[in-house]
Amino acid sequence: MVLRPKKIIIGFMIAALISLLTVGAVLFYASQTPKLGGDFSALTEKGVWNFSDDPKPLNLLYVGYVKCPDVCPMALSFSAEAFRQLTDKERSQVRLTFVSVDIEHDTAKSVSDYALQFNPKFIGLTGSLKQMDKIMKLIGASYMVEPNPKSYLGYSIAHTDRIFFLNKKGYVLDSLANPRSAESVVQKIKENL
Amino acid sequence: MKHLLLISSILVASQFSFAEANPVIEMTDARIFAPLKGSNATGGYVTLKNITKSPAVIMIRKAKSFKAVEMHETIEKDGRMAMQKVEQLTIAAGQTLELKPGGHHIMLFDATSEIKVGDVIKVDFLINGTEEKFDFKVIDRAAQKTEPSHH
Repeated sequence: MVLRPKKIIIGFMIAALISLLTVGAVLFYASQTPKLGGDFSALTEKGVWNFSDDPKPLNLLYVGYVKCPDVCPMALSFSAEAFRQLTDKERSQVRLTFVSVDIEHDTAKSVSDYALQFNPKFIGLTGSLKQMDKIMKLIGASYMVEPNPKSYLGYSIAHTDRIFFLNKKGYVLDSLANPRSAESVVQKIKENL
Repeated sequence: MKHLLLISSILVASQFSFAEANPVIEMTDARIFAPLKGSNATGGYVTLKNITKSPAVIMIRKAKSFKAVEMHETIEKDGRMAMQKVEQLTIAAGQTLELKPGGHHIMLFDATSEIKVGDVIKVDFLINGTEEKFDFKVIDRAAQKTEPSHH
């Protein structure tokens, strides 16, 4: 079969067009900013803490409160175990921040003390209602303080049970709902580093 | 009055000995996480097996070295994890109920003395109206491992 020059040119043009569209699509998606996340501030026992001051390539964030006896310590325990399973290089590129939304009862010091017992590098934060609301809105989490007069504590806080994975700019790359094993946290870290 | 007290004492003592001689619930893997600095609450877990041919109603009363103890359940509500207090648990004849992270659990508040890993805490339950004490071992929360699957 002999191809005519006209057909060859059309073939090249179609191939060039497909290539251009493919490259354009790749560049478009690569330049897209994730929809959730951004810089935020809260309080540590040392004072105001800004996410953008010293971000790691990958930043894990979990929202809860220190009187939570169940899902919060579970998420922190499994994260601590996950950090132990990483290589030194991987560990140097990640950090975990625990944000307590119990702004009425938790102090920056109590949250810090609490978080440090799981891993000496974990950061415990709390803050004002405005700061908490901003963080919740940025990452797509939520919480609700619920009176519980029948309980000794008198209240409980319903909150998102999810580890968020933020990049260096604070944008949410990924998340892990209901973390129930160290292995699932390790896998997400490796996928996002 | 003395007779009444004597009769009450005998009745209570006989109840205990009856419970010991005819156990209703078998508890295994009873553990309490050592309280963490910064928090006045901690959690406990256990596997409960009703070893009788009748339903067993379980309530929690007190725990040594803690001001209060309650049973709670973690539930998912509107996309959030919430906790609700549970007054009592009923286990059908021959059935097993596991109190485990993310589900039913025990909450203990305000330790009255230092609680260390390796300590044993006596927890009082009411099982079908009869008081029974069970030993819970204190374990390290920060070293919590993935819960083994019993399925």
